[in-house]
Amino acid sequence: MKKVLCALLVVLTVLFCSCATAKKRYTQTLPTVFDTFCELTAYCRSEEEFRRVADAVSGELLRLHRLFDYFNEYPDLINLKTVNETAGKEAVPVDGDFLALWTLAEELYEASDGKCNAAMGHLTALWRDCFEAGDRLPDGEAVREALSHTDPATVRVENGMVFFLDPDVRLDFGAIAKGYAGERAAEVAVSLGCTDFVLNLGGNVVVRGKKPYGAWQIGIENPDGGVETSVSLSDGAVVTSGDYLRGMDVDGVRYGHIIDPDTGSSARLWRSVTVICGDSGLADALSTALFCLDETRGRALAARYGAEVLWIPAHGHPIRTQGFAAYEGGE
Amino acid sequence: MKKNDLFLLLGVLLAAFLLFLGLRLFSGNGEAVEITVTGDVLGVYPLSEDRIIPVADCAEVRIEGGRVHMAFSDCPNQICVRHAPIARVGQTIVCLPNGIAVRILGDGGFDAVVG
Repeated sequence: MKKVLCALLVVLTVLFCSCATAKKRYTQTLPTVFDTFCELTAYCRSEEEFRRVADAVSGELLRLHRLFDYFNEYPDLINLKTVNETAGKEAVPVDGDFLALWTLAEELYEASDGKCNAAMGHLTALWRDCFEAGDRLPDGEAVREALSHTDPATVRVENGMVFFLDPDVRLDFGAIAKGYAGERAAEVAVSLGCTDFVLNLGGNVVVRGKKPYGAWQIGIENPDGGVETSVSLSDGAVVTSGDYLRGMDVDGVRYGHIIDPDTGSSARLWRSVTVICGDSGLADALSTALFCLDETRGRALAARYGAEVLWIPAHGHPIRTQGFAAYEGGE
Repeated sequence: MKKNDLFLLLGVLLAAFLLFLGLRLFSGNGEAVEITVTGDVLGVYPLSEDRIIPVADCAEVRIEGGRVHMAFSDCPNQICVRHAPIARVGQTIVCLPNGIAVRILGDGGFDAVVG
């Protein structure tokens, strides 16, 4: 009996150890893209395997960062800046990812009653200048002028070419590019055989697979400090839009960095909105739109895409969809 | 099987159960904070001791009562300074302009934190 017990213990121990050591956990900070701290955590069989995946993910993120860069141009690349500077004069041929992101932006514009708008580059530029200065609001007349050039219908996309019918419209993918890039980069990791990872692009998290002992645990911060809740997730994306960190205070009033296309000023319904859904690009676009929508309209939008949502309001208790609660409490 | 063997077996099982319970109860609260500057580790400090840590002449991290915050940074956007103190494993405070990342280390906790 004793011998049997001993043997059983040994077998179990060996089994346990082999399970635990088959894949190891690796974490690496990736180069900064999309003005965000980026990090990859994955379970891989070797450090070489992890490095190969991390390099490929970095490469894909950098490629998309350049493509959707509002501020800089790069040699031999037609990117967002090129399009903004020339599409008002002549049709510009663009990359497949550019077309895919624009398609997503157009769809979400319709679905969100215009709250997610990638054609308000002039308006976001006005506010960005003010956020950098940190002590003033944009000129009212300039905001009204910018608001009259934000119609995505004036952006004509045909046969891989972009042309602005309104020469004063400008594209800004700031609200959706990061999520889209996260999804593409995750595809690259999967294509290299990496099945279990978390890709965190500062508030945009894409997860695949799981840890050796269960699903990934993603914490969601409370704007006032601490962690509000956490969700367990195996395949999908978690994206938070919040205004309590990025923004400015002018004359004692808080102005967050998310601009409501209808008012031309900071959206102030929520302190943060977190979205869980299958696609990180969609989650990013939805979280921005939901940040500008009230609960009723927000619930309808989320339901249309099967997304789950946690709203943290300026006053009162957080609100969640029923499906969101099902992801919680795994820690 | 002798009586003592049974006691030993039960004892081991009980110890394992208590350990499991303890790990579940206490996991999540961090043990240490790691500070990196442009990817290089500046240091790892225990959360149990209050400490003031100057970072590369441009910022100052403070450990106070088991929580960590950025007390000062010369960066223009001050996002890192606005960030509430952190204490849970996986939480980070990042100062992008200065390339500083402050991260809570420990067992269990979160694989990533959004917010």
